[in-house]
Amino acid sequence: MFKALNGFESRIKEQLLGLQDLTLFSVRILGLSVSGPFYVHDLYEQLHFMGVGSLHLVVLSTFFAGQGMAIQFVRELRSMGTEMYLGKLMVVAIVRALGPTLTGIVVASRTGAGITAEIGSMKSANQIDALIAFGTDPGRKLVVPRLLALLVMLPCLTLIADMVSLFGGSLVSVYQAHVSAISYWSMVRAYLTPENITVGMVKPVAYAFIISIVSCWKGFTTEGGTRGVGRSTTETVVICVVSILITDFVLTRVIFTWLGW
Amino acid sequence: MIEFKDVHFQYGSLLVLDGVSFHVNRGSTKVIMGPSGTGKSTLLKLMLGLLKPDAGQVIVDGVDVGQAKRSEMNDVRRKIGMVFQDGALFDSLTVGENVGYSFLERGGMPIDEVEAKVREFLAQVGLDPGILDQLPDQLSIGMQRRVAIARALAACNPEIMLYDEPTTGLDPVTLETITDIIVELQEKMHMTSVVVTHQIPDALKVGSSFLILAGGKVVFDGSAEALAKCTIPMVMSFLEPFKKTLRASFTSLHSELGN
Repeated sequence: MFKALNGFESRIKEQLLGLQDLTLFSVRILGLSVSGPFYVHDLYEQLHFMGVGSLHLVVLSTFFAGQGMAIQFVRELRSMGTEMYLGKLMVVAIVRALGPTLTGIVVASRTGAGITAEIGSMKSANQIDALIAFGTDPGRKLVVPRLLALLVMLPCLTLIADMVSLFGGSLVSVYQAHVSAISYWSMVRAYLTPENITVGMVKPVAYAFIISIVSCWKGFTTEGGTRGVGRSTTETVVICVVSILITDFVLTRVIFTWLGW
Repeated sequence: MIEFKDVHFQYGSLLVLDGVSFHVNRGSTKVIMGPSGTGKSTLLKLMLGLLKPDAGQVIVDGVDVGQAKRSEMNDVRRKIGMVFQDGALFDSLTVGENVGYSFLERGGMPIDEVEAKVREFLAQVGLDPGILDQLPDQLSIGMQRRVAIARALAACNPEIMLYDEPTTGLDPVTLETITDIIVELQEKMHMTSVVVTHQIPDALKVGSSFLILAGGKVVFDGSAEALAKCTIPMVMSFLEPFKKTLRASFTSLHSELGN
């Protein structure tokens, strides 16, 4: 019994120390992000890797997710004879919630895992020590370009995801709900208000910060060779996905309160 | 040039160094040997300030590395070239970018001048400059080690070179080549060197003094002559497989001195 309690206590202590370490890491990286010098070439590389590299996955997943959601809505709306409101529901569901969250999860699974694996492998191969030995700050060289690139690219990917999902919804609208594309898109345009867009565009900024910081931190704290890299990569995806879902809830509450909804 | 004073270090609850003291004179080559997991690589990381001692002092060229500020530490690192275990080449960069890393990092040097410097350093370690655009993965392990030495030399025109098991996992011919490069660099550039190795024959070839670690403590620190005569059981059992080589090397050293 006492042994089990001791084990639980040390696990909690370990988690809290990890959280403290992550917080200090985040503060340090934020400091480095606002002061030069910047590794511009690395930033370009990351913009390409995160943006262009994730585009096909985001488009593919949100196209089908948008259609899936639209099919569900059509069934419920049809029972009330209100199929013409599909566009409104799609804006609320996609632009405010599903678009940013699904994009965040897709990017966390691809880019976040990739970042942890890359930095973790560099650590295992002593390359991080080699960078320090050459007078390079690994935080500045490896983390800042990834953070900045994701802060730019995740909102862009979310915008694309929103458009693709709404397009998927329009196909369902025309071919299943028999609501014309014109009335669907005019409903979408009417509800694409600055408030709805704000709710949808604040989230990816927060997700970008979570994904880049968590994945880099897990890379830097990787221990135990290739097995450790695998473990860290899995943990990155789990932490990022759970954090994104929690942040989605918290931000929605905060923004709704702020907008007086 | 390098001094350890009663250094203690542990990873978590694992005690790695337990009161280690020794010094490395300017221009000399200290070879650090000992069984795996006795903290040999940790000693090098302490010298480079990648780790801080839990107690004691690590002094490199008059600077207490454990207490040094970031700017002081960068000055110390500029004097040190480090060849990491397995090379630690940046695998996303080409050979040229690896060797020229410090020039590109500092900036201000035209790219063709960087390339000329890189070719010069590659030639210095006996590599064909034609491999400039290849990635480290495309090279043999022996070539990767040589690129790592070239990168360390290019970094800062170092006064101190640290080698972490530079010959481990190499075939006998490549091993000989790497050892020759280390000896040649010492003779040409009169650098202070610290070599961590398991290979006793190479150790005898490059070293002017020897240190054996076991259980986190220094069990031997002295010359090749003292090593050959050493009667400490731990040292004797560690050297047993290489006794013949040690005696032969000691005899040849004696005859060279006699001639």
